[in-house]
Amino acid sequence: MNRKLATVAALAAVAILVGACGGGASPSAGKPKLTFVAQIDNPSQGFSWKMYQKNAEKYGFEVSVCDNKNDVQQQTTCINDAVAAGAKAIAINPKDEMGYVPATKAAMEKGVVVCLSMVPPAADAIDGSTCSVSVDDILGGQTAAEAIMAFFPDGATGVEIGGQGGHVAANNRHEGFSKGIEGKNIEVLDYQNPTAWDTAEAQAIAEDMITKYGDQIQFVFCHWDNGATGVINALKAVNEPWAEDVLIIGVDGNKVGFQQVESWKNYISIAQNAETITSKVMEQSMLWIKKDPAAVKANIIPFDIINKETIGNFTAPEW
Amino acid sequence: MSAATQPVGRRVSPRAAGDFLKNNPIYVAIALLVIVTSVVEPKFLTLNNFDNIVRQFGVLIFAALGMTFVIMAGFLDLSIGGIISLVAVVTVTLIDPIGQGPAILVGLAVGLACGLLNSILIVASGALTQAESLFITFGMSLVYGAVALMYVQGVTQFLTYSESDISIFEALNSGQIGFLSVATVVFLVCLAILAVIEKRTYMGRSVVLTGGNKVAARLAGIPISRTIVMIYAISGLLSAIGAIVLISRVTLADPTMGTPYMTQAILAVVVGGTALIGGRGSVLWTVAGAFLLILLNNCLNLLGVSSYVQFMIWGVVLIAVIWLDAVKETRVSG
Repeated sequence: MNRKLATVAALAAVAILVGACGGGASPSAGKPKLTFVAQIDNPSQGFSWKMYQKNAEKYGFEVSVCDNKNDVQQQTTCINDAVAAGAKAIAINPKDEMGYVPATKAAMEKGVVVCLSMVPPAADAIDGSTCSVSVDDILGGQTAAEAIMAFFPDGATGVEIGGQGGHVAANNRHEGFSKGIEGKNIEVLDYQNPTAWDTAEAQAIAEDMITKYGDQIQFVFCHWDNGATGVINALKAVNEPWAEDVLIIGVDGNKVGFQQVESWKNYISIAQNAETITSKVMEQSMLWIKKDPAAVKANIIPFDIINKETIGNFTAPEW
Repeated sequence: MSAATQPVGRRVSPRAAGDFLKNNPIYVAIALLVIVTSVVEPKFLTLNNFDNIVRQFGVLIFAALGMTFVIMAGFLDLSIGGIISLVAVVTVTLIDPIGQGPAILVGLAVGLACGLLNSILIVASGALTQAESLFITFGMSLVYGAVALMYVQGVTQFLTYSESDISIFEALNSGQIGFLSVATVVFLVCLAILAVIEKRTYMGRSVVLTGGNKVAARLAGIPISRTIVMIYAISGLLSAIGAIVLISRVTLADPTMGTPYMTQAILAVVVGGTALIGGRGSVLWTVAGAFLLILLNNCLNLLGVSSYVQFMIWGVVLIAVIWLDAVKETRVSG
């Protein structure tokens, strides 16, 4: 029985491998390879991968993906494998601020262009990438602070629910937000991070904060729109007028962010446009490969502010 | 649960009470948490917070109840994270095409099928040790998670986008039957059924005997394969129920949303007092374990403990629980 099972499993594995490798020449043969390294089950990165695939032809790349599985070791393996597979460019949305640097430096020494996708390099990791294309998450945090100050000119109290603890974007958004409200009449009563970008965790944190602070909460800055869905659920469960008036600021500008701008009384989504960012990564990577003088090391894509007044100017993304 | 065996009507001596607490440190932990937190944060002991804790109890308790039988039988099930994610996305995406009731039934069937598939793989490969079941179910968790990701192409599905009626989900989230929430009633029904299976049926005794010593159980004529099929089927089905409660609560289905429950469910079972190596445990103990974990989370948030310190505390709890379990096992077998 076991031998039969093992044989069937082996045959299935071979069939899957053969199927995955495919036969014959691919239409993109001969084009330089770009490997995208990111945590693909993160919705924003899953959507980024779709955008890389969508626009690869336009920018002259053959693209592939390697999932870092939210693990620094796996991230290093992805980078090394991409180099071994002959990639000319690596687009990376790193799991951490510094862990990718030794591997990307080694890749760059072999002539591979490394471009950070959606995040800027940390101050100590400038030489760990050839270029970067990002919204500036610190600026994103500051934008959230400015939106709150504009909404509450006489000051307000509220809470901040961060992104995944230790994640670069979460750290930067918190830093920017803290800088933005420094010395102003905006008080953050509590700040907590979930262990992952998990809506259920964000909702549980919001429920606990509501229990503790109640109507002292005039605003909630939540680092991602899907997490803000949990915040809205928690506020709805309170079933009191003050909860309906709470200003919620989310980040991402994804489909649900757009919906929440429309459905929640006071909601602002600070949007990063994944298609613009990934297109810029491919454009810049190609310029660096060709050693074109027009290549730029740090490329900042501005955030879009989606609120009830501006929502008509934007198209909701599909993720 | 030595005190539970005290004859009815007999007064519990201080020594028996002491023994009970020594053997069941979870109740001491719960009492300490309640006392310390209510002194530091008065809002802890309010009706609002009690309601809050009950709402957060939902998903974890269903996953943990299913896991209890698996651990009692001396196995592990790491596939529940993948099952929860898969059931969640399948259910939400089917609401518009087939309606909410059938979508829920399909979701439950998917969970049951995943559990059965796990058991078939374990039985067919002869993986009768805990480590082997751990790796097989971990592998299956990756498969189910990947299927969930492929099924929705990584895109989060929102309950609120449904054009069809979602009243069952709304009822599960905020409906009341008398003074109990609908989700609590579902939980109590599941608990009652599982408690009856555990205490009153041959299959329940088979689970305990299989966990105690698989070789001896086989020699004694216990149907080990059938027991394995049953425990994983129950685990899959309860994970599916948990997934449906979860999507009702957070109003979305994310293809990775089940991942945190994989370890939390095991932790809840072992914290409750079920032996990690099998042969001893109870679904009722698991309820206490899950309650302690939810309470701990709630207390740490109310006390304003930094997220990073919370990660450390969870790690310490995990180590302490495994250590206490090992000490208890030594005492029992010694």
